[in-house]
Amino acid sequence: MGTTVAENQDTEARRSGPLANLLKAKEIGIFAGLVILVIFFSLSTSVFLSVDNLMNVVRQVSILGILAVGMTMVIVSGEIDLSVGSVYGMSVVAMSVLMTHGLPIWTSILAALALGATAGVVNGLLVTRLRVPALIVTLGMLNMARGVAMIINGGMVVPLIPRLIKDPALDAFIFIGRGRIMDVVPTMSIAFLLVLILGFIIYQKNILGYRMRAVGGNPEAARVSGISVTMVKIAAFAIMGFLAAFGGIINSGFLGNVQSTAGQGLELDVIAATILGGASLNGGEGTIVGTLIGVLLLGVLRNGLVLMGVSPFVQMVLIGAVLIGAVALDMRSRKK
Amino acid sequence: MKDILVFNGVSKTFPGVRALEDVSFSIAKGEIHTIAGENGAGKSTLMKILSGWYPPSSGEILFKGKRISTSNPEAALSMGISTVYQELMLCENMTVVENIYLGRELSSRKGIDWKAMHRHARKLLDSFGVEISTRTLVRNLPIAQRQIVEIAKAINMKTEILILDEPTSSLTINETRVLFENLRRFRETGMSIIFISHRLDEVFEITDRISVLRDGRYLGTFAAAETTPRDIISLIAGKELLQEIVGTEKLRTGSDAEIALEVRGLARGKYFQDVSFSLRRGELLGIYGLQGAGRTELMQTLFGMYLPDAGEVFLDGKAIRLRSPREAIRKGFALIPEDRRKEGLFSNMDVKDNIAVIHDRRITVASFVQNRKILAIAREYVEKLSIKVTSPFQRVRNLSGGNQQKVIIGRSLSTSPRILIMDEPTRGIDVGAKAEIYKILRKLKGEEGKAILIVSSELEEVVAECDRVLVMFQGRVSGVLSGAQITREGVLHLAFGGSISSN
Repeated sequence: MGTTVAENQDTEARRSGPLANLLKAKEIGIFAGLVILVIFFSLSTSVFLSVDNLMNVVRQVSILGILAVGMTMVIVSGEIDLSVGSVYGMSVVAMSVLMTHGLPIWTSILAALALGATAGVVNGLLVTRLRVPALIVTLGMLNMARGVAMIINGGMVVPLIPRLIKDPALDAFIFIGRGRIMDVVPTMSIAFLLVLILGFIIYQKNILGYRMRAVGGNPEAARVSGISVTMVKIAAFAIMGFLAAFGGIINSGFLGNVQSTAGQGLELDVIAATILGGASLNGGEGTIVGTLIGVLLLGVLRNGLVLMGVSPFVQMVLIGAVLIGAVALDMRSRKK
Repeated sequence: MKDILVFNGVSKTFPGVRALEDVSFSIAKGEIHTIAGENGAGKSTLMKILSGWYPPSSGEILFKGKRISTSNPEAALSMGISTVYQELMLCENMTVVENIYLGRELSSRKGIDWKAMHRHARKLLDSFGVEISTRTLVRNLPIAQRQIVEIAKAINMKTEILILDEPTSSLTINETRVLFENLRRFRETGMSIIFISHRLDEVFEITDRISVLRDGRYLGTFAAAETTPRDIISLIAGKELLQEIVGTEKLRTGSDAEIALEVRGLARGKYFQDVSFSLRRGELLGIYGLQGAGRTELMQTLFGMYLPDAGEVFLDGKAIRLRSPREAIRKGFALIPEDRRKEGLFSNMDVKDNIAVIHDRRITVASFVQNRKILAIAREYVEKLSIKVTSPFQRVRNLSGGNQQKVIIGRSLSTSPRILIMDEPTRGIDVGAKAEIYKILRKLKGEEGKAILIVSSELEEVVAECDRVLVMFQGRVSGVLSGAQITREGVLHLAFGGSISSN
């Protein structure tokens, strides 16, 4: 076997060259798609490539991106979460009620984050303990969390203004949502960047992410290998719930108000971006970088179509087609 | 005899692989023809070409003198070439009758003619001599009966050539016998049967002729009556491997080693009752029994996957109660599961991760995964078990069955277990890999003093390799054989419900 081992190391060395790694990366296809879109919109509109517009794109995708990082973990673990839009809404409504009742802003935010994470844990417990499929559990949670949001604030719009919220930190909170660093980079996108980095560390470097891939790849084998499938899945749902609340909080700073309908329908975009990024609904496959590219692709496509004056209805048709097309291409390349 | 099927210079290349090279031979009408060869010898590729999954790169197949030119499975089916794959292809959510008539439902003026379908299906199943209700959901049938349903489905299609890929790998001896009786009956009606199996003793019982493939090349066709399993094995392997499998001198461990595991009165539900045995260090204890005898369930319970209803387990003299595989691994148990694909492999991961995934502290620093440590563990076991991989970064799904099994064994050994539980470790892997796995087992018990429990349906292996054999029958221990008592007949006697005293 001596020679084979030497050969092995040889091929390994050749394979792990940076360029080779880049080219064989699963994300290369979708990345090429993104580049093509950017070139196309740069040529067909005069505004697309301006700093202003690009920063706009980056800002527009931030909330979507924050949630998609969590969704990547859930989908890789072999599950799905349809409740993210509602958990987002329920968390910010709870936050706004606490704020307007005189609780300090930071305390209210922490409470909202905890609420989001708790909703995630409940999802995870129901899926793993009661063995109800995630599609059903999170569809139920989608309704329940939205219902709770409606019950709490009675369908009202709560403006986040100094007259209602006495905490002097309100300005700082609004800035996190709306501000621009050096008048260029949106603060919201800095938050997204932080989530990306943390997500990358947890998912791609930490044992938790390693286990998510194992559990999503083959839950039975994971169990036989002594991995607690239950804990891993609950962790994925909890992170998802936490990030849904986090995205909601940042966005309500941007909007300056909270509605009980906040985040409605967001789940579809989040899942679409994650799948575009290469995560497989069968579990086990998906990367944070891929998801980032998926999120950007969705954002660039929307922005570019708007700049070209394409009607929002036609946009919906095109985005749907892109999603199906991208997955079809991915399936074909995987078959080979 | 007239040739119904002729392979004429069939070759098939895949990117980078030459799967078949100039294969020419023929199948006669009304014969049972075995195609033998190691995994990767090209048997499956040849069968896939025949059943229309893909076209040959060159060469042709003549069916009743006419060239088969299509490459789609439906066309092959309608010509009368049916395949029963090792992994059965039934709709588990549908009933037996629905499966048998899937896509070919009978209709009358009033719509689907269920009455006629049930009547015909009933007749068909009766001819197999089994009691299967046509209204049962396939999901609720044991594997052996599912296979009968699949064969019934194939027969129901006016089949002229029936291809059976490893049909006996999940059958018990009794079920195999029933299957063989049926195959002989089909042969009488003029059907040709192509049989693929690793179990040469069975092959010789049923087959008329044997064609051997090695590394994609055709080595010849032999009449079963004029050759021996030994000759065929040396052809298949290209060297004298038989010695490794059954010929070695038995190294039966004495009874002076200390007891590593003791089980007293263990029971769980309908699966097994009152199971007691002990396992010594450096001992290989075989667990034999027919399908449904409760072997797999017993192993899973010992490994903490289920709690027993009653009974005690002692590890090194101390009573233990395992509530999860995690706990079992920590206590020094390792399980090689029965179903490699379903419970063993992470097909989304590469070789190194498949080996290292069982660890936590050994592959992390402050909970962060260290690739360097993963590689070190993987390399150690790739080398130790001679796993044939191009690199530790190779995806496991591209490995042969034997090498996949070695990856799983490597994973289990990497936790340095003291008790090794192996459920059908050689199922569906080729002769060479089997011999290697037994070599590894011998080394583990001999040099490392591991206590090994092995569940196997391969009677030859059990008889040849185990120090003692515990035989189960309908959830109970019907006897434990040791030393010279371990014979084919002795084991089978117990497996069919006999007792030691009457033996």
